[in-house]
Amino acid sequence: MAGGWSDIATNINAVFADKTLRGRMGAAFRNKHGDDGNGGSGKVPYSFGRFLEDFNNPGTNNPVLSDKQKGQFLVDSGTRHWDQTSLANIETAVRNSLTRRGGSGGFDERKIVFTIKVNSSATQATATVTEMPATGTQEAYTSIEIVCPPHVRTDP
Amino acid sequence: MTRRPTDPAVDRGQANAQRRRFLKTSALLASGLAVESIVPGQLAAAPGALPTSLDLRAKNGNRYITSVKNQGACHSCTAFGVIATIEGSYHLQKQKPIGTANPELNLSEADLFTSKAPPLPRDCNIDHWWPRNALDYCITTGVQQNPTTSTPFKIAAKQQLVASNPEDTITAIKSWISNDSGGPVTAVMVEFDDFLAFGANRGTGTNDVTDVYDPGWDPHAPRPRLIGGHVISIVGYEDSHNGRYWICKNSWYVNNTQPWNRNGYVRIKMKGLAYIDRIDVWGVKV
Repeated sequence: MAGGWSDIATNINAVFADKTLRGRMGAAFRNKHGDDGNGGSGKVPYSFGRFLEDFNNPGTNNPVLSDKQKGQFLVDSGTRHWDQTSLANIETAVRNSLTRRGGSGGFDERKIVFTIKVNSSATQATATVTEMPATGTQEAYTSIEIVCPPHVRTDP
Repeated sequence: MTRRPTDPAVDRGQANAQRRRFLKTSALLASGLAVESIVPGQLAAAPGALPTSLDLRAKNGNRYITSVKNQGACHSCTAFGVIATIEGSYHLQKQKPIGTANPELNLSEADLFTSKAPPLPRDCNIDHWWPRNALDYCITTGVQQNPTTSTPFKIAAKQQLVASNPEDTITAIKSWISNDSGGPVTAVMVEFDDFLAFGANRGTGTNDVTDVYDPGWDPHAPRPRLIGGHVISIVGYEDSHNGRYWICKNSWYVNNTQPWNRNGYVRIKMKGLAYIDRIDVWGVKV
């Protein structure tokens, strides 16, 4: 299971770390899911899995995940393998970041950092979302620490 | 829709190159020796070399696929999907079509599920594992037959069929299924909750395209709830008049009395949102 999410973390962290790419990702998100992420007016309501599945890297315009990685991610992200409260918290954090308004009224996407850890005795994945304040030159960001069961234990 | 004009000379050159790859692959499959070393891309077949549809339940009038079994409420789909693939591969590769002269090979899913293959412990409620581990166990230790025999049934090798290019994977799967040295394949699919209900009201149905499973096909509709993964056995395909889909043997019953959907089988769209042909697909050599 950790395998599918590690791919996500590597790819999406790089986008969130770059303010320009993050802004493009936010624009793509709002274009697809609406300014609040709730869909409507021909737009699709946001869900984390669906967003990632179709998401292209705003820098390269290539898919963030290969087909195999997408499938792996979806297998790893089902209700069977996830603490549902944790999954909902991740969805909310990503939505809040990509729909956040800045002081001028425009959008100001917040940086997110995913961290993947493995717990060999875990049977479901859990996530802890923590808001991290700015320190020195480090901008404030949202930390999402995901603790997964080992790869071999939680798949089909 | 019109078809893009093509250069016949280019087409012939590509076809010949693909045919050479196909013949090379066929030789490897027939040898039964170098299966592990086949690169999935090598399995591409020449256009026209593969039938447009094939069903191992009735290939040339012969049945090579064993009866559908019921995994019940136990999360043991890997054992059932792998065993179904091994049983079908045995009958095809040994050219023993199922009938009076050749009763069904009946391997024990329970033995495989409770085996010491990693990971342990396995539990009907929480634990699942990938086909690779189950197949490795069938290679090294073997699985018991029903009724139990003194010698477990071993397979010779396993072969991953997923290539980096999805179309190459589809060709590889078709090639494997249609070759008498291949057979059915084990595949991991993404499972949504509409798949659970998909078969309940289908009956025997006709061959209409609406009866092909593809979760969340409408990008503007709410997607069905994502559950996780599921393992089944692909026993055939169709890529002509009704679009492209896989014929899949499942291991579900409805209310533990009737085989789910079409007598336990379902048709799943190729390159669809179930990702059945893009995650993890294995052929076996018995």
